[in-house]
Amino acid sequence: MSDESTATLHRLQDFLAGQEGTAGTRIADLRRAGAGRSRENWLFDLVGPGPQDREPLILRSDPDGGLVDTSRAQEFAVLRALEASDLPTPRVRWLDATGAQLGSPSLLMRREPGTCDYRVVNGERPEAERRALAESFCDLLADVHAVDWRGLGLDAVLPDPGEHAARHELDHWEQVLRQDQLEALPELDLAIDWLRTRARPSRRTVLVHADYKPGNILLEGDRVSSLLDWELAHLGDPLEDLGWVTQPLRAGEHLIDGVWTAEDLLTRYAATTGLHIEDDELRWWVVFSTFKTAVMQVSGLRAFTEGRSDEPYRPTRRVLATLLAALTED
Amino acid sequence: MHPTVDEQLTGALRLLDVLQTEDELSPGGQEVLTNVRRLLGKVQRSWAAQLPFHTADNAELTALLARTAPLVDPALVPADDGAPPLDAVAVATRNAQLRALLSQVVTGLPRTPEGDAARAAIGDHLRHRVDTDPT
Repeated sequence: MSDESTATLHRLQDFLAGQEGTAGTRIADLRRAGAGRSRENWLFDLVGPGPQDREPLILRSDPDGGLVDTSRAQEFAVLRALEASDLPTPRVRWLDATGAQLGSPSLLMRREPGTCDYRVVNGERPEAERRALAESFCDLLADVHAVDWRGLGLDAVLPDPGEHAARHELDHWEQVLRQDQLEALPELDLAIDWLRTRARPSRRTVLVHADYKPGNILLEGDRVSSLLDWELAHLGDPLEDLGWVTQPLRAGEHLIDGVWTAEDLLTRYAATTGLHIEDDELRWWVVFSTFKTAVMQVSGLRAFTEGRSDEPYRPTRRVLATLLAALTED
Repeated sequence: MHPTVDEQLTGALRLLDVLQTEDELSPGGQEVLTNVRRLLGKVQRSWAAQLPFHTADNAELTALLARTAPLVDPALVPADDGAPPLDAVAVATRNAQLRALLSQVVTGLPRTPEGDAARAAIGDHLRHRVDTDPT
């Protein structure tokens, strides 16, 4: 076992010893999960106290640096509230909000069965199966937006921006940009100027996942077993998630050329939710999604140059070119 | 003359190839190595093109700012370039300064036909820059 694994094991043992319901249990098969882009994840089983008791768990901790800076306490509260809904979400177990015991802010949750494949709708499966999966992902997004967030008490955890969701999100990501940019980026200033003058009031306020993608969906065969990564979730405009999944940068993850187009997705979503979407309205969120991606890359670059991350992120030509093309197409 | 910058970078990448075939390298170590290779590859592809790119971009930015900055604040029109033309660091620093001025112009442009024309010109410049930036 590496020094890092040993240190994590000891911290986990000490932390779990102080939690309810862990008497007589032990940690087994502790290992680091594949390189998560914004979290440091460890997998293990909690074994006992009964001879057949074995609970698969995951420890999600803040890394020193990453693409986004979010709150584990908020993610824990959102997931805890969603346990009362019909959404397939992982069960959260424990939280170390400050990192006092686990080294950095962390949450522990149940490891759900299944696998994630971010390219599954353009993978090896037969076309009909891939289209059916893409449709089920669209339906799951509609389910997320249909969550009764007031009834679940999510408004006690997440601020309600009301009809100003677009401005609220733009302000937030501009603030992240100002905090993390290492130099002037007129490309992003031009995007902010464009977005600020065209922001529209939202027609509905829903729970927005904000990083909806097949890479965050656990599948068992063709069944969705869990929707993961709720760290960016917030209340806002449903078009935000729709802009995220239909933006050109992510077409390969959500759409199938000639088989499942953005128009197909929006038509199915509208039929399920009754929300008909105007092109201009969606365009704002598509541009915003590309802008947000660029800001995340800016944050990643700062983390890299400060030695907090080993991933050499940077605002890429592809993202900047896509953003500028979207701004200047009218 | 030898080893040239290219020869040194090619050599560094070759040595990393040797390391990458080592059996005992952990998955984490492999990932770090891949990132080092990506960074060195970028430097190898771009280092020689940076000075001419920044020189050309500085000239275009200076002309663009001369046309658009007066709509916001005449003080944002750049003064004459004092950077030594063959000093790559000075030319790159000048580029960052001119881009900072452009950001200020973008942020302050009026909502008028002239302002919109300036936005369009700035958009065209930035698209061209992104397409040709060797870094």
